[in-house]
Amino acid sequence: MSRFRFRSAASHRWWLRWTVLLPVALLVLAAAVTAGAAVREANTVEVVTFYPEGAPDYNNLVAINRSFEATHPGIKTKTTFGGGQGAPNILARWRAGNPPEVNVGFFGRGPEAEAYATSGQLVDLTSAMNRVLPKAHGYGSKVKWKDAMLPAVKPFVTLKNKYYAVPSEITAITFFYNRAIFKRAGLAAPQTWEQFLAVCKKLKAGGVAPLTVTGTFNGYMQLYFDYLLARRVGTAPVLDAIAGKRTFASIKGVAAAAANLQTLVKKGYFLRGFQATDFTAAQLNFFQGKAAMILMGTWLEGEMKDSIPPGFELGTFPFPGVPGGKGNGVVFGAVNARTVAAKSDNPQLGVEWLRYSARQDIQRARIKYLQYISPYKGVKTDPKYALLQKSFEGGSGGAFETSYFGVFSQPKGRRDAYQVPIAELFFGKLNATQMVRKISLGLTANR
Amino acid sequence: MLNRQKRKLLLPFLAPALLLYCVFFLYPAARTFHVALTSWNGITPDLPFVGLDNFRELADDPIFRGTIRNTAVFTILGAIVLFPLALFLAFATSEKVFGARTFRFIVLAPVALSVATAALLWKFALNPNFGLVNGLLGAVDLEEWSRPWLGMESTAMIAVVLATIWHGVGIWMIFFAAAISRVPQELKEAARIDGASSWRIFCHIVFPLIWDVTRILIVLWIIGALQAFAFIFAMTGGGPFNATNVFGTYLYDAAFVESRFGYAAAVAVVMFGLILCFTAIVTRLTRRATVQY
Repeated sequence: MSRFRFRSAASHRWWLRWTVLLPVALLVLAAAVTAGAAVREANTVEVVTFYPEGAPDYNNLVAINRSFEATHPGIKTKTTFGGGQGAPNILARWRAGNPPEVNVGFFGRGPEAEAYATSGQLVDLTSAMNRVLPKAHGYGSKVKWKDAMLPAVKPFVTLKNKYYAVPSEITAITFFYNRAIFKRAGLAAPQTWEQFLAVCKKLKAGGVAPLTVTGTFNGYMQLYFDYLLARRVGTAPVLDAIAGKRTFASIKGVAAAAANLQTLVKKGYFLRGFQATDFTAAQLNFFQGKAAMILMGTWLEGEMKDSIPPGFELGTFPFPGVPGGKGNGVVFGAVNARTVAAKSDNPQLGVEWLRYSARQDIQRARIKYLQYISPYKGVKTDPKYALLQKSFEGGSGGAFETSYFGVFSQPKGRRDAYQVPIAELFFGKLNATQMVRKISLGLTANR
Repeated sequence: MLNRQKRKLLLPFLAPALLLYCVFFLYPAARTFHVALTSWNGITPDLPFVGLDNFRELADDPIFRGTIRNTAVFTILGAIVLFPLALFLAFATSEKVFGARTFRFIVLAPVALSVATAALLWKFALNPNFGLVNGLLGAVDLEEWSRPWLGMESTAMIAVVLATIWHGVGIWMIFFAAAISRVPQELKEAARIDGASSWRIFCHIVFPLIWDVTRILIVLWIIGALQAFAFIFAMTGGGPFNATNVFGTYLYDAAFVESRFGYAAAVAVVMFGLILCFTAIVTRLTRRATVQY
């Protein structure tokens, strides 16, 4: 058996010292590297994008960043993906006290969505909003930032009259259709529910799936019922029912809306296999001509820009109205907003970036490239959105309502109580009557 | 003298490892237990103490009970498919057969793909409208068999399990192949001279001799399966109607979709407990006298 013995006490101490010092040195090195990654230059503004690198929206933000750098000598920008599956990374940085300057979201309606503002983690933009924009921004010489925005936008970026967010674009939910398919079938965009059903019937008879929808995300199926409800009964009673102030089943017109939805499902108007089709694939199906219509947000064209075949003729029409309906003018949508993190390294630079991106020429270029609806005045959208834009300007185009009836800001129990039965009807697990009963019971139980 | 010197050395040698263990495991684990007793939303700095409320809510939540069932199905179904397949592939490719090395490489190749890539690949293959699987069924006049595989409660879990196994079977095959290669060749040759078939050699010689490795791999599979997340998240997100919702996806939703970090921490604590229990039970059940060779 071999024996281990230190040659001397000095050797013993040497070993002891290095056994402790080496791991400590490694730990310090690791900490320094980690901290080094977090340390940025003082003159950098980091902008989060909802879409990943390579997406048209991302490219547009990079272009804005370049333009910002060119007009702000000495300032650097950084573009970081933080939407979808990148969101947890950004969340982790917020929790670690190292958030980017300009963020997507972190503000909205409902207690959870307001938490970042009420806990002081967002920069209060009110004073910046009350400042007059430079003439070079294109809105005139005496226009405050807040007044350059369309009136419909304000509720989405304010809390108790304080501005916590800046709108980047308006999204509205509307029907998109393939003009070529419609032309071949001799069809025109429907305006009423009866016309819509006739269009679906003719398309299906001609071998084309009338509609495509994703079955992997309840929200998109919900949109159909939301609009049917809104058309028949308006939005107020439904919002009351979702808020637990009244019984859902007691609203007159709910059963008829549910029956309308069941008709679409029963007649097989949705593209086969929608149950396993995610939203990108559903959008792709539409642009590949596998379905003639899709109920989608106005982000559709910008999001799918690279997948739209050349010469594809895209048309839009509002969700069809019903005779005597109480909400035939309702437009569901939302305002995508950006916020500035108070704990970021350079919050004032973040505010400056947002102010700069409000320039009319930048907005015009963005809207032209991505086919979005601008939240700013004087920035015209594509003619197919003219009616929608009119409603945001306070015109007669209809009432702008929070998409999905705002259920995404509701607690999970209430959200599921509303969404899941709708999905179950789509999947053929429930009929219209059962769906209404289940929603009603669920909302009551989750008051 | 030796013991005294060894004892003196013990602490300085253990200290760095202990320090790292405390900083990177014990503290986060203790913190998770603490957060599980709060209603922290991940946003505000305060952690409101709610005692065992999160655990009570978990016990009452039918979706969570469903995730227990789904995780069990994923684990058992996966084991039933994976282990015989990996053993078969390992045994087959350990024989001196023409093309065995190439075949082993082909089986191992998917391991090189990231989970996200493999999951997306399967998601596309199973797409009901332009997917390979339904396309092939259509091509051989079996269109009536085609279906939205990931959109049906009856098929979604099976599809996810098969995709997971397709991606990982290569590495399990390598583990088994390594164990099989340690089985003395002369034992197999003696059995062969006695007229034993490959199947009998496998059942009566190889398998008993690699049992210790097999039981460790079973435990590793259980631990991995109870933590399953990436494949399911990328392929189904836990749907349809929570049919593939497992601990990992449920926890992720609670934390990052619902901003209920306290509740998510409670799920993590339950997961931790279950993994410990199952590991102990399986280790106990599969224990037997070790065969020396």
